[in-house]
Amino acid sequence: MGIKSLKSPNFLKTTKINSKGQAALMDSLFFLVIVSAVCTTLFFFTVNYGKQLDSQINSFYSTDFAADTIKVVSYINVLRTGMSVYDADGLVELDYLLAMMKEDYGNKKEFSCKTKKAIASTFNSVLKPFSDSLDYAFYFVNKSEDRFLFLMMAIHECSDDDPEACVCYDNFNDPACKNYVSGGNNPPKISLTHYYCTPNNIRILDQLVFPYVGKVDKATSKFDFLDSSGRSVVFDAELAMWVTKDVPVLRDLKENKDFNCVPINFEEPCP
Amino acid sequence: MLKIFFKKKLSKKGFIGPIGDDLPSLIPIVVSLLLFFTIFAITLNSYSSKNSEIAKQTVMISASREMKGDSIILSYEQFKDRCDRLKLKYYPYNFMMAVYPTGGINSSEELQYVLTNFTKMSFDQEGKLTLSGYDYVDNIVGGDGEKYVCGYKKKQGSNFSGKTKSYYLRYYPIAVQIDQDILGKKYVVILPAVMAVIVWE
Repeated sequence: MGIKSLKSPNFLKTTKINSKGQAALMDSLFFLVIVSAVCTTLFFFTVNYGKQLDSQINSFYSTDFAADTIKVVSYINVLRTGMSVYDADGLVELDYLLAMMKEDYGNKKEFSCKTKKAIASTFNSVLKPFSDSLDYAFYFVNKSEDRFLFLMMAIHECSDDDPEACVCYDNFNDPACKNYVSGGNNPPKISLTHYYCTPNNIRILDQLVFPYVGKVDKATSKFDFLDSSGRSVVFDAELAMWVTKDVPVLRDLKENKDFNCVPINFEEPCP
Repeated sequence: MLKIFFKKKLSKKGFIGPIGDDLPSLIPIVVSLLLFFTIFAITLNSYSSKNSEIAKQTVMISASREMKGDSIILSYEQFKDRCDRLKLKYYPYNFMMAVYPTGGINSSEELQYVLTNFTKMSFDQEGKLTLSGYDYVDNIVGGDGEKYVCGYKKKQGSNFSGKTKSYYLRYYPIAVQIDQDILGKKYVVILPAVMAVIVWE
């Protein structure tokens, strides 16, 4: 083909006709790119759709559960010995748990051993569906007076007699733990221990616990107590719940001087 | 004449028909359309199934609110009345609820059997939970013939069983006022309990 023929209008026309195929191919490739982008958007929409709503519903359920728990605690009947009705032994003297709390506050501005036990036993019952996986703190706090009337913490702990079992619960892959299985909770080894605590600082939970345990679900309610002079004092009753987590500050509450905790022993009779 | 022949020769080169000539460009178009419709179908499917899950949970929340009231049930009559007036039976879901006692530090771990108990419950022809179905589920709160259970099933719906794939189970703490036998004597007491609610399609 000579230069002359290249310059001829016929050749240009032919070249134009031949380019049509390439243009169509490019168009379809652009179409593929656009469709891929649309599909990617749709895919991400599918993956993320409902996630936020789901987490909101779960969060709503947890908060609702905590609020219901506080309500139930305020309705419940217990034995005056501080034991649950199911564990009656000897004289059956029934009372409302709330009445016992108000009576104790009116007398001494603090809860008696029997009332503390009754509160712990009631929470233990009410939160039973999640007792394997839930740690919690229940407290009456007067923010204006800057003090706790009562602070109870329920923490999953390893029993003192076999600490190795608890280490293996967390590290079951360790060759030394070949007899332990993944996630197999062994109730005698890891159990929920209730503590009655008297810290000096009412912000101790906000400072040392809540920031480290993950998501905390809280419910608050107001309780009115009358002291011996008939003066009304309003306390915030708060229940904070979180999924059990191994946090250094909660590892040995008995020894922690900031919390100043004493374990609540259900078996030991109150004086 | 030579010019015409030359032109024709060039344009015929590789020509295999009007569609065949565009075959390379048709492949990406077909792939794109296939990809789009596949993803669209998946999205639509996932969207409706997630919507249904959310609806189930929302319905469960509102139903449990109706049933537990202010977190206290004062009598079996009150529980039955709430069960009869429950709006959940008008929704396209099947549900059951049962109240279990949770009191006592050393009480047995009855809650382990909640799901098993639900599989044992049966419904009458109108879709309402029958007495005969749960007579032997004795750890539910309530005396003979007055067990604290409530449930409805759609006529076309299947019974809840171990094979039911999609269901929601929630627990709600409540206080129940019942006649309780304490050391051989009957007392009217308010005790802690938990209301287990299950919703399935």
